Amino acid sequence: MRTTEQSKKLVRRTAIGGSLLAMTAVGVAFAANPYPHTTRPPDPTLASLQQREKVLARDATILNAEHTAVWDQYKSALAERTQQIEQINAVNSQIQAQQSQQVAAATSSSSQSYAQSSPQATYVPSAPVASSGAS
Amino acid sequence: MLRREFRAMGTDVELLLVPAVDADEAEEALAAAEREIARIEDVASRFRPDSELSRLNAAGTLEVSPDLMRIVTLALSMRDATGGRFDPTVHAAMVAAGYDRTLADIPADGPDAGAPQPGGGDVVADPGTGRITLGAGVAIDLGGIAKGWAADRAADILGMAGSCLVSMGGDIAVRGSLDGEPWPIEVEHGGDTATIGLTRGGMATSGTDRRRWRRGGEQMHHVIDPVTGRPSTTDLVRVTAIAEDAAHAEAWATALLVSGADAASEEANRMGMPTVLVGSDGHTTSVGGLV
Repeated sequence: MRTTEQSKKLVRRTAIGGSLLAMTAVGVAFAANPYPHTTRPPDPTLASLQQREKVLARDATILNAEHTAVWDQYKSALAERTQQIEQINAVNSQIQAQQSQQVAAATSSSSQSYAQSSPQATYVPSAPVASSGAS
Repeated sequence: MLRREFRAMGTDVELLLVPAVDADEAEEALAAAEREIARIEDVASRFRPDSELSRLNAAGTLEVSPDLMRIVTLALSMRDATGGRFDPTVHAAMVAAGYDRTLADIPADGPDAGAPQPGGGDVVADPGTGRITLGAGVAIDLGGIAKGWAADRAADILGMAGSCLVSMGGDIAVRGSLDGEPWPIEVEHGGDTATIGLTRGGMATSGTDRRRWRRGGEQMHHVIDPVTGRPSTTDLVRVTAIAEDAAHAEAWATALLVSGADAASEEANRMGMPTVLVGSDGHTTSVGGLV
């Protein structure tokens, strides 16, 4: 026959054992699912990729803008260069026209200009030192 | 006065120098002038297959030296100034007439000259690129004007050592005076000679009574009329022209010779160019203010 005191001890031990058992069950359950209120845990690799995607998208936007700016600059420079070439060609045409006019004028007035630059030459009684025979 | 004589460019060359420097420097100047003439012959001779001109004629287009560019552009400008009576593109007519080798090597007679070869050939000389391009079938002969050019360049060199006269077979350039007097130069009149005093510039004589040979029994000479493409039938046998330098004098002498007596007299007077015209009958006229 168990005494009353023994019965009390048994009750306490049973209660402690039950508590331990319950705590163990909770621990096992937590180990199996540490975040019981979420459907999936966050994936660090996916997050990193998503962040990277955002960065790349931003970089692409920047590069596109820069490319557009450079292309616009190129087109502007090309247009400016084309204009310069046209101006140079126009000046060259003017120069050629002026040269043609000068040549024509020089040719038509050759008698005057030649007379001014023509060397002096006269018959002399001296003995010659050289001869200008037909070559 | 120092004198040096040698052969170059198919003719007799004379260098006369009244030195204003010591003897060694004067000799060096004479040697330098001779080298300059040889250098220009290497550039402009049509008889040397390795000359720059021959390579241009063979290739049809060539990047050329400044020397050849200057001589060709001068020749082309004289073609314009003379209205085509002087023309460096009569090379084909020269060859057709039998003048395809140095004068000493031309046989006294040969086959018919063939079809006429008029001048006026296309030549594009671009000093900017240094390239000369010839039209199809066009070749250049710089003969007389190259000799005049060589005389001018040699005189430029020799003139640094004193007063001088350079004669390239009668194409004459002078620098300075002969003891304060004009350089006395002999010219042929009809059956006689006279002496012209030249104070500056150049003098050249072109004639049809030298360098003669026959082709198919027909008399040939080296003065081609660019219009007909055959040896000129002018009534002049010789023209001596005096100009600002020997190269211009050579071109004008040829142009006036081809023109004939009346036109040459009128033009020389109009230009004020001292000129001696010798007709085929021996009649000699001094025009252009030459007295």
